[in-house]
Amino acid sequence: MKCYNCGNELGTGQFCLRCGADVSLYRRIVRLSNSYYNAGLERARLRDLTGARESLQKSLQMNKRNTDARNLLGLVYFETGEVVEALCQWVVSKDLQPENNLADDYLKQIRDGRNQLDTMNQAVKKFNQALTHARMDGKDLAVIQLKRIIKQQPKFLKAYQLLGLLYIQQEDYPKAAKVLRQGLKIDTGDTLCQKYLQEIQGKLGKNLKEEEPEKTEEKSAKTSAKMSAKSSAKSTAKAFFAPDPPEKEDVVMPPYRETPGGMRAILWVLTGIAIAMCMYQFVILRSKNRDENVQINQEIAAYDSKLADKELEMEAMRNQITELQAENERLSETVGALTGNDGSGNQYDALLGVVSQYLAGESSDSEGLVAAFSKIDETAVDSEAYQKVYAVMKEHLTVDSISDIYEEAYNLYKNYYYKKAIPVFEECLQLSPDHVDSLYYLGLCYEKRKNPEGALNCFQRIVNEFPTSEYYDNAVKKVKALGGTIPETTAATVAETVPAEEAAAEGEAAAEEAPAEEAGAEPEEGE
Amino acid sequence: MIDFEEELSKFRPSKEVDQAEDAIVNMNLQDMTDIMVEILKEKDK
Repeated sequence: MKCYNCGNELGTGQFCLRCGADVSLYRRIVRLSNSYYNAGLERARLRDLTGARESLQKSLQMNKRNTDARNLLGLVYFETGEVVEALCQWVVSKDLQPENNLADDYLKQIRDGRNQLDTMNQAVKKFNQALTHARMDGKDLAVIQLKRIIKQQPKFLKAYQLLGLLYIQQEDYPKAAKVLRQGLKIDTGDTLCQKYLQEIQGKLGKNLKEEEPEKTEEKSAKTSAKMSAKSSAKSTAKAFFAPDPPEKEDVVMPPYRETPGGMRAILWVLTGIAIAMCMYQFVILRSKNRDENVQINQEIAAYDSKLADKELEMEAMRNQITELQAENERLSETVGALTGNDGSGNQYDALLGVVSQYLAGESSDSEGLVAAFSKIDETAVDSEAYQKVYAVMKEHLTVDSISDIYEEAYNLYKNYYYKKAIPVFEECLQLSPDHVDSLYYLGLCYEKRKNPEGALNCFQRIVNEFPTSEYYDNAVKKVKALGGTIPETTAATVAETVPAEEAAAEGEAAAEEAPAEEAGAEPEEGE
Repeated sequence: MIDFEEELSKFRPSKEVDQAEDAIVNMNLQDMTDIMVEILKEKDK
């Protein structure tokens, strides 16, 4: 024992000879730790691994440097399939006592048997998977997985516990009892297995009690029958072989013995052959069948594991199919969006049609070309190239066509065809929303057509958006006349500029409005 | 009477080899001797 303070080897006294620390309490703690270790060792020898684990953990709680207890605890963990817990204990043990430590051997064996460690780790991973399946309504899958784990790692106690629980849940009590008894062979003190077994006994108790009296009756009947048969056989044999009781007055004769003849010898040989054949049937063929059965069982187990693998693969493939279907739907929607009436594909086609017509030299001012272009949605396609081509075409078509359209509209206006002029001016504005001329004359057309709201909208736009326009002053007047509002900033400027320009503007306005006023009877009124 | 869901919730996933390092690092190694030494230090102060 070493001093907890300086690490010096202690003698038998109550104090350390080197540092003088009082080690009496420390001695008690170490003694307690050792006694817990002894208890743990005893329990481990009796395969009560749960009890051993508890004792050894207590021992280590007393003295963490109790290397023997730590190594044994690692062994206990390893025995129940908890390989990582075992490794932890041995690594810590090696860290606390680097020299002359049994944990060295264990760790070396683990390192040498790398495949075994991998197998155990695989079993742990599968157990965790099975636990997840069991929690997520995949109990059948969990049962298959646990069976495989037990086959692969027969000492994995947790697998027995979980499989037993799953069998209980499926009300397959005989199988559950079998599995739990196997678990108890690994750890006789495992409380969980014991608890589940008690539950099963509680469930099956009634059935067993009902069956027992029948069985005992059957047994007693069988034994009595056997006994009676034996006794009768014995008595008949005795009676047959025993010499008849000599009657008092009879002459004693020697027993008669027939010498074996030819037929009898043949019969004996045939009987021997028959017996030999029966022996062959019973012994050799049965053993053969047994081997075949074992082989078949192994094949069934192999097929079971393959089936479980395939089920897992199928599950993964089903998920993949669902994902692919979702992706397919998404792509179909995208294709639909591209190829539909408002799809970007059609918009591309329409734009290319306009461009090709324009490049082919077809009259750029033709209404058809402009109308076709006006149907194209600028925002339908999110492509930089598309936007550029659209902008270029718009510029060309607008510049080329707007003057023609405006001229046509203005001519209509000049000839008092206000009703016809309105849609043509609107077309101009559609092509170029900032075309002030069209806006102004559209307002005048509305005014002539007794549509004050439309007129006010047009003049109000000129006042609000085009303060530097030549039509501004007239627009202000119109707005005032129609009851609209003039922004304060522009009102001030107007007040300053109006007196100077008033005469000219009024003259201009009068000139512009002259044809309209002159129209006592508009030609289109009658249309 | 065993409640299946309750019993199932008691099962904890086993540690895999990849988690061994973390398990060793996070292991609580305080024992009665450490507590005794701490108490003696407190007493000396």
